[in-house]
Amino acid sequence: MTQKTLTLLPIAGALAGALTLLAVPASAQQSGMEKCYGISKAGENGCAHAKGLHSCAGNTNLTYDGGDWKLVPAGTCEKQMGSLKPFEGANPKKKA
Amino acid sequence: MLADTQRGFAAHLLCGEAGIEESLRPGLPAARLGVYRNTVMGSLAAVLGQAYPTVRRALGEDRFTSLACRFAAENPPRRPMLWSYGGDLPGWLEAAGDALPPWAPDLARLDRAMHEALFAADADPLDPARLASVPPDRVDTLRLVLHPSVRLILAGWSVHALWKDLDAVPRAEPEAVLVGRTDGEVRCARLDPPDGALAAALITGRTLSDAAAEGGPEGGGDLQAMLLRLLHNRLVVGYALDAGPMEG
Repeated sequence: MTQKTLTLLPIAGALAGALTLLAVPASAQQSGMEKCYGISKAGENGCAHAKGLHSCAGNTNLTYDGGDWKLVPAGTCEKQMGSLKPFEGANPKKKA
Repeated sequence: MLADTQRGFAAHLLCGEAGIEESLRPGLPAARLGVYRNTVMGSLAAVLGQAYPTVRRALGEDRFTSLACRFAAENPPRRPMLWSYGGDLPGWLEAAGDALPPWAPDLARLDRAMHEALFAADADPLDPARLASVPPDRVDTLRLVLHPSVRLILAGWSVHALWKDLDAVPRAEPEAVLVGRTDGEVRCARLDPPDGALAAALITGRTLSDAAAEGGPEGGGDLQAMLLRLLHNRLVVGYALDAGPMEG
């Protein structure tokens, strides 16, 4: 994207800018959230499960299970005694 | 005759209307019929509880179940698909009043949007390179086609914070929440009202320049950040320039 494009056309510039930022490697992208395993209570697995479709509506029946995750602001997962990777069983660091 | 009996039975199941026993079978104990009523109401309340998990937790199991049963009695399922049941609950909660917390209808709208996003059709995301090939002087007239799961709710309360953490103190501040499904996972993001206006315009197929005018720089909306958000979450599935869809 040329500088000319960015300055001449604000709308085109916004699109060009978004496409440029989109190309930034995933690690640097500012989604601002991370998957945190083992911190969601029963029925509170955010809206998501590692396995995708089946359990989005807070369906887990297990509390602090290592297979359930929810999105938390990046950098706060370990403070909440969660894990960035899935694990087996309930989270030993949390009391159900 | 049969139709009358069926209507009476349905009314009994939903509203507990008495007097149906004799027409079904003389001497039928009412308690035995109660089993059916219990099963129907219990499963409808359970379906609503699954579809509105945050509202259920926020109001508590007992209160939610009693509201759900009242709702179900007035609004029995109309389609033979349980996932679609209960779309009218947010409006019903609003009308019910009932000393419900004022944020309950908005929170229900968010739950519903996420529920619908989960069950929405699939669509392949647009390769961003296709957008990059649009001539800059035509970008103004570009209309996005978004993923079928995309939903936007406009709330008068800080329901996104509540959804994340029910212990959060609800604030009577307008906000929008954008919901969409990415790789089978429903995500949601809180938007300020200007970005909400921007998103609403994009979702309804307005051109980028119209959308920018709607919530753009003066309003405080950020078109670039919104486009990045949609592309990053692979929620753009096509686009159109002026007349007719080009793809999607």
